[in-house]
Amino acid sequence: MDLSRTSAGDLAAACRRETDRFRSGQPSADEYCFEVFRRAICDRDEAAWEAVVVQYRGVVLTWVQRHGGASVEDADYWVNRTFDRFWSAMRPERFGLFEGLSRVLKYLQMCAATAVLDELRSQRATAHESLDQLFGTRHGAERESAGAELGDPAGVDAEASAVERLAGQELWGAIAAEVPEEGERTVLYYSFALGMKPAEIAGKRPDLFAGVPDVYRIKRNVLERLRRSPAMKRFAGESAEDEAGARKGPPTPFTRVTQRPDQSGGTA
Amino acid sequence: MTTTGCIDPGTVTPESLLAYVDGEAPPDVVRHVSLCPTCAAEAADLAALQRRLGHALYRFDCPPGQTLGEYALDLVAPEERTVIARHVLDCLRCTAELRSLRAFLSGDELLEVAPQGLLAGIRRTVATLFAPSPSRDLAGVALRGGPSIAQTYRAGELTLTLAPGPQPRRGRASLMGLIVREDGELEIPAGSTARLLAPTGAAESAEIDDLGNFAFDDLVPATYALELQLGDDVVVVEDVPMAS
Repeated sequence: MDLSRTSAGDLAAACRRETDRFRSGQPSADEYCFEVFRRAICDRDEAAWEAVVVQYRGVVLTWVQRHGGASVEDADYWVNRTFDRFWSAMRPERFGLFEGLSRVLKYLQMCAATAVLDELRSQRATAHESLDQLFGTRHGAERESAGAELGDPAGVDAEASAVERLAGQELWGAIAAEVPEEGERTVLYYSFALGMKPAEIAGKRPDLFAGVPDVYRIKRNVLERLRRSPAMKRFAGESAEDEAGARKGPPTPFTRVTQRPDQSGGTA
Repeated sequence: MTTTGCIDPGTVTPESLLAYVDGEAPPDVVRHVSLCPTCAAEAADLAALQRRLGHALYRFDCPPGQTLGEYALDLVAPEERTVIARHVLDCLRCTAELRSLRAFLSGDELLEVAPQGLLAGIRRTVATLFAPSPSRDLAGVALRGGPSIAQTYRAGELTLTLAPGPQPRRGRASLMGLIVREDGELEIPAGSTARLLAPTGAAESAEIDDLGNFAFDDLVPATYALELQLGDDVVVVEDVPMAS
């Protein structure tokens, strides 16, 4: 069968039939379903995308229900988030990376998992004090603005998350300028970006720290300095409005994976 | 605390006050802070500052979930893979998320019992922890060295015993394993291998000999996943913690 000439309806029917055969343990072919995905992604064919959602909604629902982090009563919400995320991330130019149906479905499954994962991250972050309390309303306004521009829930979350990371990078830039010494910066990074306790830090970097008391001493010194630092006060205050938006700090001694240029759309 | 107004200056150092804020202070410091309004106020200020920094910097350079997912599926470019791997080694939260992602992405019937292709005919079994066993259980079999703690897993009719290997280099770990069958009829197919998968995605392989032994040495301490490829069977042990 020449799949390129097959109608979307016939392809969808063939995909459904082969999936049923597969589930019942019979020999089956995956090229029909793969072609439905290809048309949806590469041709941005709406009928094909509709067929994908209809065909795989139940599977995604099963994944979401099996994922411990998602609440079952919100399953439909997570299913929609999964497809939104998949649609955003799976650009036509990337489709060639996926050699067959099982790889495409694995990616869809990964989108289900990471939609929940990012939400859990976000919930844990807001369990602390809100950013608005720390920096006035600037970042809150940015988050709302980002959401309004994108107009879809997945995009809002991705953009809001990017804004929060950007705020963290700005703050890290200010800190890096105040704290040039590697040991002090390492204590701050491990303590606040990675949430490690002094004992864990001392164990992780015996090359930098003589022991737990050493980490406490350094942490106390650097916190005291930050508390009195004009730059930090400026960053936290309204007077930082004109400069904080453009300020970027030097790279951390660790990684800067969030600064990839292709990340702003929430895709990788 | 040295702050003016402390009811007992010199009793509590600035470092121990910080330990109090972190919930790790000794009882005498806790008692002092409960009695001293000045130190209690100082502790509250420190806690607020830490809370603010903790929120603003919270995972600010962790890879987003989607990137971590693509990393788990080996879809990121090599140079980015290295950067993420380095981050994951440091970040306990990303390590936990990556492990959870990998567990979630494995074992799905729809995807794994592929009708065609490389996975055809492969049977995959997840081994379950049976019981810790004393090291003497390993005596007299093909394992050598002096393991102190052994773990026994079951996967179908196979029993798998894992134990630390002998004397790794300082800061490194080693692992020895033994596969036996309940009925003693173990036949290890030629070419059988054991693979250790690090949270970073790095993998180490070792041959499984005809007695069911395999060994890894010079490992970075981490929690690994272990895969035993025995002909058409794959046995998986999801979490193998390895300390130095």
